[in-house]
Amino acid sequence: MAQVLCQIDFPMNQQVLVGMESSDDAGVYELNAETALVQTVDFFTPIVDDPYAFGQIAAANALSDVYAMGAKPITALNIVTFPLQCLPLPVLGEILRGGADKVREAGAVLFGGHTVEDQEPKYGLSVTGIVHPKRVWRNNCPQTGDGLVLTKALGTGLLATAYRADCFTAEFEQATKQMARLNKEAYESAVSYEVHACTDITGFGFLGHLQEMVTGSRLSAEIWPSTLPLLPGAIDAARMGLVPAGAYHNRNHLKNLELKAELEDEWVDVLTDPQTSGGLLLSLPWADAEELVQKLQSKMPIALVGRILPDKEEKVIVR
Amino acid sequence: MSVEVDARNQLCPQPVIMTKKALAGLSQGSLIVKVNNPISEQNVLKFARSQGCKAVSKKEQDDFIITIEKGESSENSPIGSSKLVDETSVSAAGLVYFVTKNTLGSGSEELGKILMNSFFVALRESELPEAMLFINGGVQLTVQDSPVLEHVTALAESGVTILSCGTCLDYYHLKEKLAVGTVTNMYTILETMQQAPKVITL
Repeated sequence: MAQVLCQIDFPMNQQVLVGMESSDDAGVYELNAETALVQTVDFFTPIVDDPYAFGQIAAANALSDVYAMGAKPITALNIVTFPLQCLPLPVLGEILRGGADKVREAGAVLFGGHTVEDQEPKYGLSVTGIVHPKRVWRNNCPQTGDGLVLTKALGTGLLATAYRADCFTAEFEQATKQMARLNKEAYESAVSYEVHACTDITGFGFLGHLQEMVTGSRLSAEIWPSTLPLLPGAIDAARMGLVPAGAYHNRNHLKNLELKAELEDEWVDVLTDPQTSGGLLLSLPWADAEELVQKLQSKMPIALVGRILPDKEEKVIVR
Repeated sequence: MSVEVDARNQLCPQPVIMTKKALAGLSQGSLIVKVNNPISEQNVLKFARSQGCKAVSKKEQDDFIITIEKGESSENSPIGSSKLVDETSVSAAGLVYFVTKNTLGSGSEELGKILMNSFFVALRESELPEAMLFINGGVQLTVQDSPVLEHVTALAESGVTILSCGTCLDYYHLKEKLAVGTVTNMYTILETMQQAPKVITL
């Protein structure tokens, strides 16, 4: 994709605060001194059997990119493809109902969309949010000494793979509930702290998104695997080789990774497991990070999982 | 005696599913699994080893030929592997122990430590719980120099989930000394207790 994108001269102007150059979670456009517009789009094929749950997860996933910019979602549009010849219309109704309920939960409006007939169902949203132009959370400017906070557990890709092999079905149910959860509460609490950088953990896996955070920053990150919140069954699924192809691809894309010598394969698999609708990864001053974790730890599997180091090599170190 | 499985051109997790089925039907001997991509090769190797089998892979042109030896060791494989054979055994026990201090009972602290050791000895001989949650003073039992480390480690190796509260480890400055299990938080502790059919507090 990068190869294609770099060939095109995209229209830009000075109002663009965050464009495509930093692979950030959304684009940000300054409207005036008080308000910037945040725009993002995300859609995908079903990862669960229940259409309502699929709608909820796809919507939560798209909304998350707005929260990851430190912005509040305000409007959304549906993006749908559906195989009218193979699936009954009520299934489409359930997907859309799931999405609508999730947008309502986020406090935004859903006022349109577009549906195209296709061979397989896909669903997601285009979302617009608003943020103060001086308070945008970019993904690539952490500061030395920052604590790294993760707000959801890892392992959705592994459990989705295990589910397809009829294993860990109860654990996959739990993963489904987490995927459908908004990052709204985490965003609303974090916004009162001095967040230096933020991204959400999705398809590139934890290490892939952490790598995006240090790229261009001239800083490095270290993380402590034993502190990571994990979905039950994820490590076991990895041990049993129920590892999605995406995890291996993510591993191959890591540029400057230092792994602790005795780290077992299953931990590497969890760290590179592609996530669906994952948590926010926030970089903020250490004391604020500790306080944020204390504040939210009874409400979500939030944890302080690492820190930013002054090493200019832009390494990701797993201790 | 060897059985062959052709899992070439199969999408993940089909190669692992096919290997699992073939292994279940094999009482002893070897299983030969053919795949033609490195991801399937890695996954089949991981699966075979998780079931206590020896597994080696050899590249032959575009294919990976994986030979899996199902010996006697697979009968003694850890509880983790039996989770694949019988899904319900994952939560069959369901029992959760909530360990709130490093001593058992109240009165003499010295006696309390002795009793805690005896408790773990007895626990290893009885029905294993699903999980043990260590909070406040209890986290002193899952770190280096814990008087019951050997027992907790043995329980972990038998498939018991061992979780220690992160806030507590921080408070006692023991985070870097965690020796068994993983760090958890109040949300997960609460969720684990709410979902368990039975919770015993020490």
